[in-house]
Amino acid sequence: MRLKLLPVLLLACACSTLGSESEPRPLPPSSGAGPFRKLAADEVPGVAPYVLNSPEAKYRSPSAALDTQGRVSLYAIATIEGQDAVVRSLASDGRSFYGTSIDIGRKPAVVLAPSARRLLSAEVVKSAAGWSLYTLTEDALEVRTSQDGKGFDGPAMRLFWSPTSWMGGVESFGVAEMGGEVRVYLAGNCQIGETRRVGEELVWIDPVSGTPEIEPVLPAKSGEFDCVIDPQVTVTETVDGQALSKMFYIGKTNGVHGVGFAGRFGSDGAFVPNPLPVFRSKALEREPFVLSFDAGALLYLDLDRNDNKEIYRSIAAGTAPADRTLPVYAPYVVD
Amino acid sequence: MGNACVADARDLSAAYYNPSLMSERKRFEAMLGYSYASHHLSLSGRDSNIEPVRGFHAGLATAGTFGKVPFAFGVALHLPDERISRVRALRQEEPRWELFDSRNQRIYFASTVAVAPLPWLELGAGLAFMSSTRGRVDITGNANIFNTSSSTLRHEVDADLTAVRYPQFGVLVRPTNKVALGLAYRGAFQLELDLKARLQGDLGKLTTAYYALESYSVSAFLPAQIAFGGSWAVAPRVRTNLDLTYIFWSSYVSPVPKLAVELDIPTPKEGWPVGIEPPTTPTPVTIVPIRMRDRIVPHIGVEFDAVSTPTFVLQLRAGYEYALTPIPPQRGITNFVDTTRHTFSIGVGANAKDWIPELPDVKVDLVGTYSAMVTTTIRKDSAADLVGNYVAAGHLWNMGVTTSFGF
Repeated sequence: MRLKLLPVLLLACACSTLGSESEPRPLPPSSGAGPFRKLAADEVPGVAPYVLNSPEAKYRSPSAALDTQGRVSLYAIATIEGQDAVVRSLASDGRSFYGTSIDIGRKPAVVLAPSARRLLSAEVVKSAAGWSLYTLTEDALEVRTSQDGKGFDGPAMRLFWSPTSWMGGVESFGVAEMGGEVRVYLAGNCQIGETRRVGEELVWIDPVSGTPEIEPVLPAKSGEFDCVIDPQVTVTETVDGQALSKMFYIGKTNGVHGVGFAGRFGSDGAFVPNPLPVFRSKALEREPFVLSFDAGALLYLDLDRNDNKEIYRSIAAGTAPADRTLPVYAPYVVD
Repeated sequence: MGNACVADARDLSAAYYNPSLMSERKRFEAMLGYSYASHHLSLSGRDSNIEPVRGFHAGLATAGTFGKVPFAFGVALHLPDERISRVRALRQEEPRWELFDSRNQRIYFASTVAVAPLPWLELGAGLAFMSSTRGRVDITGNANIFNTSSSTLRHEVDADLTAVRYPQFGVLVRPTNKVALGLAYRGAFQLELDLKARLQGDLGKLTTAYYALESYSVSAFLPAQIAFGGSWAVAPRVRTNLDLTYIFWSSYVSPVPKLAVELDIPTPKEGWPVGIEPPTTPTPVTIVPIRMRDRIVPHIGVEFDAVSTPTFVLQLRAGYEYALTPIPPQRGITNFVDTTRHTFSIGVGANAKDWIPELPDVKVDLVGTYSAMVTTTIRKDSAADLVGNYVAAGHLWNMGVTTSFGF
């Protein structure tokens, strides 16, 4: 009699449920330094991965900052009637800037008027004191300030520094606020050195104490590269409260460019390069600028765009984490 | 009981804890249960979305004598009700909860035989079976690289779930009627994920493409274990158990896939169109050894007969387990995440026998466990690490119910 109940018990095994689709893996922890991928179609208006492009303006040397409304202000050098200027565009998603190949009848606003001097590089830095625009010409590094980042036409302060044995002319630079002071990174002769701004003077900082000469903070041989230029430095904090200085730069090997990443704990000492590039597009990338945005990071840089008629410099963008799909680009915004 | 059952598994769970204890089955028994394990694990405050593991477990045992020697034979089954097998192969840099991410969603089947040659000696052995995965994907046809929706591709998929087995042995000695000592060996098993993919065809009438990928990885590995434990009836209605389990984690095989890739895309006669960049063969990956460390995991448990009559027994149980993580600090490029954990368990068992002669004896056991993961900060040696420092934290809980019938 007892065994007759066994089939009933076995039938109970049939009461199982059906499986469901796995949830997507959440974004893993990341230092926000890549690897980056190019933005794809539907992630930008116009032709991906370009966010600012014009054969006339030849946009280059991007830098970006968030405004008080969380929108991204993107600055770049532009050629206007044969002269170099600095312009600004705006996007709520960091991607839909007016100034792409789609003509909406509006161009990026000029924040530094065109003039005859050639601009090699430019970077806008936002701090508690306001906005600063640093520009590098063939003979000077200048800084101008603004309260709202919409115009930098006031008088310029020229910064100077003493020569070093390993750096010839300065080809590019980066600026960061670190521990209450401004650090300026100068790149030349395929190496990058670090200075502290004291008034109008840039005072070299030696990453290796006790050496007779000032050493670069990132030498030419970094990672897989033989030459480094175009530094951009930011300072963040690790989850356990350590200061982390992050440097993005362009590395070159046999004429091929890539975006490199180097870091250091704290605010002093040499940077340690990651052995592999964090972005590479085979289009002579220059002037990387990484902005933390929307739980990830956006990489802006200038590179050659070939539109089948001509090749000209344009601002392209990438995103990290690379396996993240971004939502469709947002509508244009204007000030 | 904090998994302290090597000398004291009194139901069909003996098939796992110590097969020799199966010899104590004196009649035909059936067991049916359900368990649900929930993982609440996070990395730097972000939920890791580790899926729950849930499913049915069932068992059957029958007993008899061989000559004058009592013996028993049993089978046990775990059947996940979400998926019958799950595999996932990740890059070694990608942070993952190594011991929890998709590890237990597999069919488990075990058969056990046990004898009691002497009144104080029991011996048992068994084989456990798990499912492994092999597969092949073939894609052929024409890929239109200018208008991907116009591509005409044919797909063939061939996948197998194959069985792997590993042995289990156990011995139990009863030096007195109040004390039992048990020793169990559980063999190692590894589930391999073997995938082959091949893509061949035309690329927009420009050129041809051939891409072959072979991936081999160990999608799950459970190292061999030796468990030694004792059970002591300290009072007529109280029993305490202590187990020590030595786990050979040092033999752990890295789950990182080994890839072999072949890519052949000849350059078109007219060169590549503007904007089209042919892919390049991925750089071979150097797999960093995981180097786990062997661990001894202590388990303690106590059981109290709160009610004890000839026809009904109500038992209350509690236990604790301390599992020091076997994974070394992840200071380099790998991110196999685990933390030390403390597990607390409580349980209650109700055993009714001979209440109604027509019905089988019924035993219902409820168990709940809570594991607290020790919050751990993973610090990287290199400031240029792309993952950076992060915090691993969380907890697990598990609930289960088992109903046993003695006929």
